[in-house]
Order: sequence, then structure tokens, then C-alpha cells
Amino acid sequence: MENILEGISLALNFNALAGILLGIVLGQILGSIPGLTAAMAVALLVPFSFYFDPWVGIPMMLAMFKGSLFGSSIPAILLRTPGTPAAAATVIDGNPLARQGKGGKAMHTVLFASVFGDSFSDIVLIFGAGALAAVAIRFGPSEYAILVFFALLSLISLHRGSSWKGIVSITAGVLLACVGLDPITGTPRLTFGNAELFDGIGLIPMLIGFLAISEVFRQLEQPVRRLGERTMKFSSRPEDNRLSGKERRALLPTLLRSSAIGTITGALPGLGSTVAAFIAYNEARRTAARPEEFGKGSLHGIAAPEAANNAVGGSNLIPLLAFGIPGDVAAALILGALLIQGITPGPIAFRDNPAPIYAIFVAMLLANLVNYLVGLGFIPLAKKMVSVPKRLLFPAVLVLASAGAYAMRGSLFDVQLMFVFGLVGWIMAKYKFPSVLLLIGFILTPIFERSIRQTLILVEAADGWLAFVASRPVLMILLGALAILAVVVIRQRLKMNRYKLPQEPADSS
Amino acid sequence: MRVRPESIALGGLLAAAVVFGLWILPLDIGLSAAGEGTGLSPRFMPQLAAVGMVVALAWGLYRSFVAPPAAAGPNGDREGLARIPFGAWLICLAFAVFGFDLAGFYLGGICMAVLLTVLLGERRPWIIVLFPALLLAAIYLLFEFALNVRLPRFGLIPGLPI
Repeated sequence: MENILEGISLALNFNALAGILLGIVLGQILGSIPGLTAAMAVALLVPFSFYFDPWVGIPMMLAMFKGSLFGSSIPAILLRTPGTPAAAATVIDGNPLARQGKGGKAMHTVLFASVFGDSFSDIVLIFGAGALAAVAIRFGPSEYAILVFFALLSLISLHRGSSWKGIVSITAGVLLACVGLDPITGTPRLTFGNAELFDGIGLIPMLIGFLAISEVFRQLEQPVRRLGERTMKFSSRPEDNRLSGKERRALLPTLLRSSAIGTITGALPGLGSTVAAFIAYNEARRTAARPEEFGKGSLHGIAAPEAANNAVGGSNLIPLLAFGIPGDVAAALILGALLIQGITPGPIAFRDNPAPIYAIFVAMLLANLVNYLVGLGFIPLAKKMVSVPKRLLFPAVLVLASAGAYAMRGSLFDVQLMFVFGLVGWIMAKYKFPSVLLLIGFILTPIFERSIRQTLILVEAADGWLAFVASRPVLMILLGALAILAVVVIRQRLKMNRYKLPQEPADSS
Repeated sequence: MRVRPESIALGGLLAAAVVFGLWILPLDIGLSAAGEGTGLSPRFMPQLAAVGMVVALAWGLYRSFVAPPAAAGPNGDREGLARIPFGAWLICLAFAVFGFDLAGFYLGGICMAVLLTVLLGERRPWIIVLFPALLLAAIYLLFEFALNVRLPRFGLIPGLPI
């Protein structure tokens, strides 16, 4: 109880609230600019969070994600240009409704559904992560090694492209993470005598390079034109620019069902918010009283994918907070920000220092409220935000990214690395190699390597593998559970392939 | 039989991965006396990753022979690096390697933003001049005053605030 109160006081001070407000505002603005994906916007801002107190920087990061997810649906509705792949399903009904002059109603539906889905999964996270962490505290290195291996395996199997490309990406991430001094013996590895590499490759140049810079280069391949020139007419009738209480109540069953779909999908590593959005959309259409309205501006068709893709955001923090293992790029970015701030999530944090975890929970719930309130004021400004021309946006992103990469360690070498990773990420995207898997491989390698090498040392001391496994009942249970889960996940992938997903960057896995 | 370009590229990558695993890796990572056991070896993880990569690339090479060729898009296959993004990348890298070091971040950043804006098709002179200046002014205020971070300065004129 004392820890919960301490967590609440950490999250409820003025600075943390200011961080949440700033994060939401920045997230909504950046997310609504066509061409800036939610992950790209947050990756650009991760280095800046380091300069704030942890209890400003962390709530700001969490809030930025929530704000950018809502913001990224605005260009999906008004311009048919989803700010993030997860908003692609919102286009199907959001844009037709906006073309009827009801863009305001569509954006209010998105805001309501986003905050509903987000809050639903945050509540599940609050109860689920603690329970899982209580189990995870019994885990030794071998259990962790198995868990990380399974996470990597499921990410590969659920990636919507060739599995071999997933393996190449992950192993490349592992190799990049090996650069620097060996954590056990201190031997330099893959540094080739370059002193700049002795500390290893920085997470920030990796994140900005692969998520933001590569995305800029990818989008520069398209003809550069002023996206804002396409105008959208808005009806002046008040009922076309708001969501009534009756409409909100009618949406509740769809929102509950879609939030549950998003929460379950998000808790499994690798499935991601795009899959959740399309599953929820199809489920809403299947169970709708008037399915013929779908595709023509149905409010249920907007609410279902939005609630689901936002619900993924909360529940994909379950494996991160309970085990310290990120399930997707959003969780990887949040893990990066937490590590930069000196907080290592996982069962030990739950046992020894749970106050920051409770503070994160409170900050997430508060951010939902602020997201809703700020969003109400932001909707009228949305028309202007979608008209920033790319020919000015992208130079600004590249210069700002250079400053962010330099500022972290005061090293121009990091800026050079960032642009090299940007090129590599762009080429990977061109040939459909998932760079997100490379990033997750990079982030998970330290914990995987430490666990697997400690396990090998323990096995060498025991009487072989069989005796080692037999002496650890938790490991046996985990192996059995993971085998079952592997079968379920593979079946789900086969089922998932039946859904027709739109073309999107390889990063969206 | 005509060999596809992707098979040739994958073959090259596979050969590079094998050379890396068998030759470069042992050459670069020395083994101390303490590091010879499997669990203690500093080579363990990189070698595991190299093996995984070789297996995956071999699988990909096999797939490139047996899978049907991908259908060309409406504009045909767009292989190779596109001119504008690659040009933008060269400009960025040139400033990251030389420009920021020689001209400082702010002057270098203005030049970089001007070049990129022109490369991306902007032709109005006042936008080309004003936009980079405003952008770098905003970055200056953010870093120097809000975050208290000193970005590289123009070294040839001592005392210059940028």
C-alpha cells in the first residue's frame, strides 16, 4: 500500500502532470502530420526525454505515444493517409464519413474509441502485470533464456513476410548488440580497434536511424507534392461535428469487444496493433445489425479498429513490465526510454522497487484523461495540421534527428551511425526485411546473452542437460507451456493470413 | 536457366556471412584463458548469431530459386536506390562526417537544410532561406536554453555563439 501511495505521489506532482500534458500535445501534433508515423515521432523525441527528471521524461514518453496514436488517425480520416499502419483500418469508414462533411464526428468517434480502448487495456495491465511478475520472480537464467527465445521465435513466426527475413533481421540485431566489451570477460568484440565502439552501439542512433531516418528516405521515394492542398469540406451543423450521448451508448458493445481483442492481441509478442485493428473491424462488421453500412461511414467501423489498436498499446506493456521483454516497437521504445532513465523493468523491479511501476500505471491512466481533454480542443485545429508540406517537414526531421543523436553522448560518431542505420533501414524496408525485429533483437540480446551463458555455466556444473532440466520444475512447466503456446501462435498466424491487410512498411510487424 | 538478381544478391550476402563467421569473427574476438568454456566464451553469442544468419540466408537463397518471381508493380520493378532519397542521404552523411565538424552544428545545419529543401523541390527563395534559419533558431533555443546542451560550434571564429 505504501508503494502504491508513493507511486501515486510520483505521478501526481506538478512536473509529471506537465510532462503528460506536453507529451500529449506533442504526440497529437506530430502524429497528425502526414508522413510522421507515431513510432517515428516518438523515436525523435526519446533523446530529449533524457534531459528531464525521470518523473517528467517517462510520463511524457507514455503520453506522447497515446497522443500520437490518436493524432495519426486524423490524416487517415481527412486525407486517406494513415499516420501509422495501425490506422489503416480507420480509413475504410473514417474517410467516407468525412467526405459526407462529418469529419468532426469521425474525429470525435476516433477520440472516444481511442481513449476507451486505451483505458480498458491499461486497467488489464495494472492487474495482469503484477500477477505475472509474481510468477516471474521465480525465474532463473534458464527460464529467462527460454522466455526471450520464445519471444524472438514468435516475433519471427508472426512477422507478415518471409520468416527467413525475420531471422536475418533478428540475428543482425544480435550481432550489432555484441559490439563493445564482452559483459563477462571484458574482451572487445567486433570493435575492429575503434575506440568509439568500446561502449557498444548507442540505442538512440539505432532507434532514430531505423525508425525515423529510414522512414523519411522511404517516403522520399514517392513523388514530393503538397499533401495539404486537398481540401475537405466540413458541415456546419453541430450534430455533424460531435458524438451524441445516444451514439456513444450505441458504440459501447463494439468498444468493449474491440478493446478485448486489442488487449489479448497486444499481450502476445509480435501480433501488433494493425492485426488487432483489422480483426476488430471484421468482428464488428460480422456482428453488426446493419453490416451493409460498413465501408460507407459507419461509426462502428471507425470505433472498432481505433479501440483495438489503442488497446494494444497498454497490454503490450504486460510482457515488458512483468518480464522486461518488449513485445513490439512501441514497448521497445518505452523500454529504451526507461533504460535511459535508469529504470530496468521486470519482476525484480516489482519486488524491490515497485513505486516507479505504480507511478507508470497512474501516469498512463492520467494520460488517457488528458488525451481526451486535449483531443477535444485539438480536433478543430486538425485541418491545419494535415497541410504541412513534406519538402519542409523532412529536412526539419533530418536536422532535428542529427541534433538529438549528437546530444545524447556528445558524439558526431553517433550522428554518422544514425545516418548509416537510416540507409540500412531504408534498404531493409525496400526489400521487406523487418527492421523492427532487428531493433528488438538488439534490445533483447543483453538479457538473452547473460541468461544463456549463465545457463551454460550451470549446465556444465550439473550432470548434463537432462539432470539440469529435471531439477527445475518451473523450467519444465515453462517449456511445456511454451510448446503449447507455439502451436497456438502458429495456428493464429495461419488464420491471420486470411485477412487481407493493406500494403504497409515492413516495420509494422 | 536465368538466375534472378535477388539470388545473386543473396548468394553474395551468404558468402559474406560465412566469411564473417569463419574468418573475421575469430580474428577480431580474442579468447582469454578464462573465456574458453562455452558459457564463458566471448565468441559464443556472435557465433550463434552468425550461424543463425547463415542458415536464414541459405533458406532465403533456396526460396529465391523455388518461389515464383514477384509481380511487378504498376510502374514496373523499382530496383536500386532512388535518386532523391539517396541524394538526401549523401548530403546528410557529408554533414555528419565533415560539415558539422568544420562549420559547427548551426551553420552546418542551415546549409544542410537549404540543400535538402532545394533537393526536395522547393524553389521559392524566401522559403529556402527563411525556413532553415527559423528551424535552426528553434533548435538553438531548445538546446542551448531549454536543455542546456552545447552542440558543436564554428571553430574558426572564436567567441561566435553558434
